Amino acid sequence: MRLLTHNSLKNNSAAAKGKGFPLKVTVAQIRVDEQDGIDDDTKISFIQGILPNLDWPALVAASQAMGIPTLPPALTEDLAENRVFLVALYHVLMNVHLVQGMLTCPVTGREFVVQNEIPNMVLEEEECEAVRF
Amino acid sequence: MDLPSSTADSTTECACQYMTLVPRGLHFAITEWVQQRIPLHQSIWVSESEAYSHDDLTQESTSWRKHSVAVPIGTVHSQTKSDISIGYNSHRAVIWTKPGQHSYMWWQFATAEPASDVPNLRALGPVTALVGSWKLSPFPQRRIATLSEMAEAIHFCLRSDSYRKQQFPSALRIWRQVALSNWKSVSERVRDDSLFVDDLWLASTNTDNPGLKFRISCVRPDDPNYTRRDLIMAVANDLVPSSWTVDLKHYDVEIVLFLKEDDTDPCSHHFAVALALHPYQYLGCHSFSSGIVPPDVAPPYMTLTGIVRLRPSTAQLLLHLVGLKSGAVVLDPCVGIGTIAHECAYLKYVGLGGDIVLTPSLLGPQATTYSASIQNEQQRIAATLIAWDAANLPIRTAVATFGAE
Repeated sequence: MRLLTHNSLKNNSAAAKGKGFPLKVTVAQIRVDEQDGIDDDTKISFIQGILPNLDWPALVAASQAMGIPTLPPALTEDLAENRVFLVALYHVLMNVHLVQGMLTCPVTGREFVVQNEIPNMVLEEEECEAVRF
Repeated sequence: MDLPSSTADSTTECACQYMTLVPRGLHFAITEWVQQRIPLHQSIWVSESEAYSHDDLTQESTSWRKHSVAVPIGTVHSQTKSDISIGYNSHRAVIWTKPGQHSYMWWQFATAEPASDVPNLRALGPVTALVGSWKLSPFPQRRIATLSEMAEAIHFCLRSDSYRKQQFPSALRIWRQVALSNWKSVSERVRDDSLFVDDLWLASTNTDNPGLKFRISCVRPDDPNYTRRDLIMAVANDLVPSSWTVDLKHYDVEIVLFLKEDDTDPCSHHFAVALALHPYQYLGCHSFSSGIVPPDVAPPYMTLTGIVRLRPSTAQLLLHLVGLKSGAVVLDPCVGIGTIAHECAYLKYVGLGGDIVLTPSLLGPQATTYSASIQNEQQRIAATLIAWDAANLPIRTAVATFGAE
């Protein structure tokens, strides 16, 4: 699971009442891709496209849990236009993977296991009765 | 051009000719996809789709007129004719391909690109080196009906100097280039230059040394009159030099016979001979030997027996049709083992997908293995996969449009 993915995942159970975000990250194993073969312009273009949708505090908390304490607490306009920063941000979002671990709902404490990089977000039938339609 | 009464050869003198099978409906997409990557010197759709026009889509009518196929802008399914789908163009003229047992079209093309590069074009699927392609029309009033009639018509094609001295050696050269460049393992016979001389048939008669090992497969609709094996046995001796030996498992070359009725001519069959360019024999998966299209084996090689999935080649064409920009995010809510999501990387899209079957007790482990092989064998970014219920996506509202482009 990438940090970019974590930034959009939430507990969608009825008990969470729509507030199951952000999920707390507990790490057991991480994998980092050192080289991805993507040119910097492509990375910057991609990051600029998703910046408006990123929840920055959630990203900072999750990256700290995954051993990356270097993200700034706030995303300023200067940083958002800094090419070096954007390339580094791409690396953090796309190349750091949670292989084994746990995602915990901040409201209900419901745990979602991450196994072999795949987070299991499938809810039990009784957990989603109120939201099924 | 006056054609012989019994056969017509549609291949040209170009040495680098290929043939592949393309899903109906996507035939217009693959040409565009390939042309964006390599220059095509020739492009032939064998037995073009039947095309009909219908003045009014809402009325039942048996008056169908045939036209040449064009790109449909949409499709509908007729309630009155439930066995067909109808594609229509901007003028509401109906364009349709007749459904049948086989939903693939033959695409023959020629290119001067290095032979080692062609099989790596992911949308091509089971590409082969084309030896020759013929139209079999020995009878003016009817099609070939019996095994003996078919064997005789095929013998006429194979017992020619053109086949033995030009077509087969040319295709074999392409095959050898691909095998030596792309296959992870080949036998010592493939590395032996003496087995790849220009005049293979003459060399075979002048030596007792065994040549290459081969098997013959046949892709053909079911026929109650004779089996695929019957056909293979009837023509095998004329297909390869006499020094070559049969080995159904540990073969070097898979020779594929393609045969089908001509959709547009009630008195003809189309017949082609080609050499498989993917090393099915080393991958532990079915080749053309099962009589149908083999599994997609563009890297990473997939040998998941018993699991039905979308072909990566088809996924490539579908993603191409979407026409997104580089860096776009593609979200597949029912991603299965991850085929569409993983194919995104080739087009510089970011793939994200989830499925309820990706839990550890179902396809999760296989999906992880697939992702790892993509990462390791191809050094490309694997997609992000999540086990989720597509009816209850665990994605926060602020990014509900995140995956849309």
